Amino acid sequence: MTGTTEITTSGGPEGRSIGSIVRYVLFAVSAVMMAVTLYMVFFWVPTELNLGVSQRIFYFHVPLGWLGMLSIMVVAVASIMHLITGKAKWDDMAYSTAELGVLFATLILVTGSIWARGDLGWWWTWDAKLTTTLVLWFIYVGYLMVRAYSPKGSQGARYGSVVALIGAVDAPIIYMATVWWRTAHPELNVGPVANEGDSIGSSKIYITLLVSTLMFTTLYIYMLIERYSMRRTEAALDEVHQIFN
Amino acid sequence: MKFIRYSINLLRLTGISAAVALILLASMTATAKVAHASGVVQQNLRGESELPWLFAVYMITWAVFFGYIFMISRRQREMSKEIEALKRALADRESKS
Repeated sequence: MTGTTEITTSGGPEGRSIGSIVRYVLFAVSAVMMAVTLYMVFFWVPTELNLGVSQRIFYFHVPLGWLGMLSIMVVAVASIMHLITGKAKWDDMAYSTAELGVLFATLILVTGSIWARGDLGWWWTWDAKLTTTLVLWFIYVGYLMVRAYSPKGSQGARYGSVVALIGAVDAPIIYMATVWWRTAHPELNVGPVANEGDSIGSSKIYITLLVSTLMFTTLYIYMLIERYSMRRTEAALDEVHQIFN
Repeated sequence: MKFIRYSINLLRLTGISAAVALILLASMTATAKVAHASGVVQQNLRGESELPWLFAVYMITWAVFFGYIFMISRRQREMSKEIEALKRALADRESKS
């Protein structure tokens, strides 16, 4: 019984040892990068001239935004793979990523809102970028609610996949919102379609943003592996309970 | 079981590290505030009144991550107990039959 759980969650002793090493490495890299990022944000990078101290929120807000949008794409791809192959592991991946997606989407909204309050004096405005991000948050929550209230097994996974595919359409809209519409949100100043006129002045700002993004991405991968393993264990436990009952 | 125990230990380690990071962050922010007030940081500009917002963002972000990891850790512990209970139930069933 326990053996079943262990094999399902880690892929046997060999898989377990490789998995353990990968986790330890990811965790150690995240911890070191976390300290480096904090040092860079608070002591190394210069204060941006126009936005002042509150601009340092940028080094958390932007990576959270990137990971929030990445998550819904991962959920959609994993859902498509589940629909094609019918394998439970893809569905477990989609579910785990959606849960992390809620976390990141919540933090995008909260950090953005606090930044706007400190810098512009308001908490919220119904502009395109903010509203489409709120829609993304609702899509994540909707996905998890569909999974919670629909029947267990493949039917629930299929309903969830539909929600995830709708959510994936929202991600590019969020990214392009400041290009397509006039918004209160600052223009894009990083990425392929960023306006050169709005680029960030200091290379130190770019380097800090890059390190912060790498740190959050590493932490994200670590958390995703942990959540995914737990989801597999939950599924194995459910199976054992069914056999018992 | 080893895998579950290992996961719990790793999550505890993560939780402790997150707490340490939180304390580190608080002290760094305080240091930055002192540096700012004493004029060490001279180029700004609009700054000091915005420090609480900056502090709030960093605290909330780490608190959310810490809370999530704590939640996962607790669920892992529950699953570990569940597996133990199932093992006992299986042993009972085998001894009766």
